[in-house]
Amino acid sequence: MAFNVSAVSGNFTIADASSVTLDSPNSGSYAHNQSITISWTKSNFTENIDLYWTAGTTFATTNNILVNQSGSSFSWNVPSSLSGTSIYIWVRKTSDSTVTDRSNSSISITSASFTQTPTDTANLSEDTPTSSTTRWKFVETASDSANISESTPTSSTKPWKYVVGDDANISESTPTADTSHQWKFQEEPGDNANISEDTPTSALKLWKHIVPDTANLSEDSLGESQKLWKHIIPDTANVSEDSISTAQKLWKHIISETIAITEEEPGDLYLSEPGDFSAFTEDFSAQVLKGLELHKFDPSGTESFGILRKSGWLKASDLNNNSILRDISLRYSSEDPITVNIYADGDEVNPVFTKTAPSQTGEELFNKSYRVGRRAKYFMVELLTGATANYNTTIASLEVKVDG
Amino acid sequence: MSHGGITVTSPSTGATWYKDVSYTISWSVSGGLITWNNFGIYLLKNGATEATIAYPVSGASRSYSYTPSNSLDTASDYQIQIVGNYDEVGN
Repeated sequence: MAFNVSAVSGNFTIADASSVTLDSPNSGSYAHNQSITISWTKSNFTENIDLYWTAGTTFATTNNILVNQSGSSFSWNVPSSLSGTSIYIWVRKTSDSTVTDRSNSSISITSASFTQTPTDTANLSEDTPTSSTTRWKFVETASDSANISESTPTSSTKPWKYVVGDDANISESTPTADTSHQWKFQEEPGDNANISEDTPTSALKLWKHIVPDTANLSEDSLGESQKLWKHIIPDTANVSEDSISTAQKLWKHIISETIAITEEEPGDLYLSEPGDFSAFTEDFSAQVLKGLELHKFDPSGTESFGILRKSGWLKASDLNNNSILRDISLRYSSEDPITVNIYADGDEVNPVFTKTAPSQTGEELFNKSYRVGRRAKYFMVELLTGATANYNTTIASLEVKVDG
Repeated sequence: MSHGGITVTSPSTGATWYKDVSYTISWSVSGGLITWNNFGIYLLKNGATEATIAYPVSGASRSYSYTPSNSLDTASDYQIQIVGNYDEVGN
């Protein structure tokens, strides 16, 4: 005979299934020692979780990252021993392999590398080389357009270009087949500064330098080994080396202004004033010597002079004194009479003394003396000859005796 | 004459079983010279049979693997009922 018997458990709960979701990482590439934030979301359970990694999509607890972890995230430093391109990260309800989740896609873990991203717009890059020759470009900042670049080399010679700031250029143009280098430098186009090497016709180097404004420093073009240089300072001054046909160097210096070279020793006196005695040569000078004698210095005694000559104001002694003009002597020869006028104390119109020395021809010089007998603080001697015959007038000496 | 007895040992009172997760229902038996022919396993809700989990189960069995269906309501008044059929030896 069969019997039935039953038993019933106590009440228990049936609830929605536990689940856990790995929120990150779900893909990506990571380097050794890089920190990966692993995060997860638990559902319908309160227990902790375990973290693992696998080298495929099959769950295993061989490689645990962390076990019995509370919370919802963990920062994992990728160990240097781990490398691969099919790595999956797993989260598991602690000790319950029925509740797991993994990265949606594999992650890649490679050796550590360092990449520095420029903080500004600066770039240092090497162009893609097309051969074994290295080409570099350097852009300091995009905003100032600075460039250092090496253009495409066509041979073993390296041509470089440098562009500073805006329009400045240092460039080496494409070298030709020979070994000569051609350089150009343009500092700023706005001020016309240039340093350039002209196209060489041989191995020689020709350079030009043009300083801003009108200054010039240039080497003239020449077909041999001599170098000719010119330098022009920004104003009108010039230093130049003339063209020469030998290795000697000739230089010229031209000062910006035309300055008459008329310097004399202090105390010298002149028988002429600039402008009045254009026919005077620079040898026709006169001065008061030994107190008070006026001489014409003319060793040969052969100079000619024009219609009118003035000594300029002469002072025999201190202006507080009225010196006495005693005599005036003239040693001369002339086809025309020579009139001697003496003016005193600033009056250039009314002479205080006038005498006319007669004409005296012939090779011998003629002496003529006149007594003056006038007082004057200062005085001036004037010589007059005829307008047409002065060419053969010779003044060998003119002497004024003065008592200071 | 011997009488058979059954005690449900799992789930325990107050336990939580999640849907779609496999659990083990277990029981023990008592009695003298009796032979267990089979068992029936039922899910009760609020005292009424909600579903037959398994029948017949071999009389030699003392446990059964069960996965709560995802279609079940979430509730805390579920029970497991074990019904055993046995023969008295010698009768």
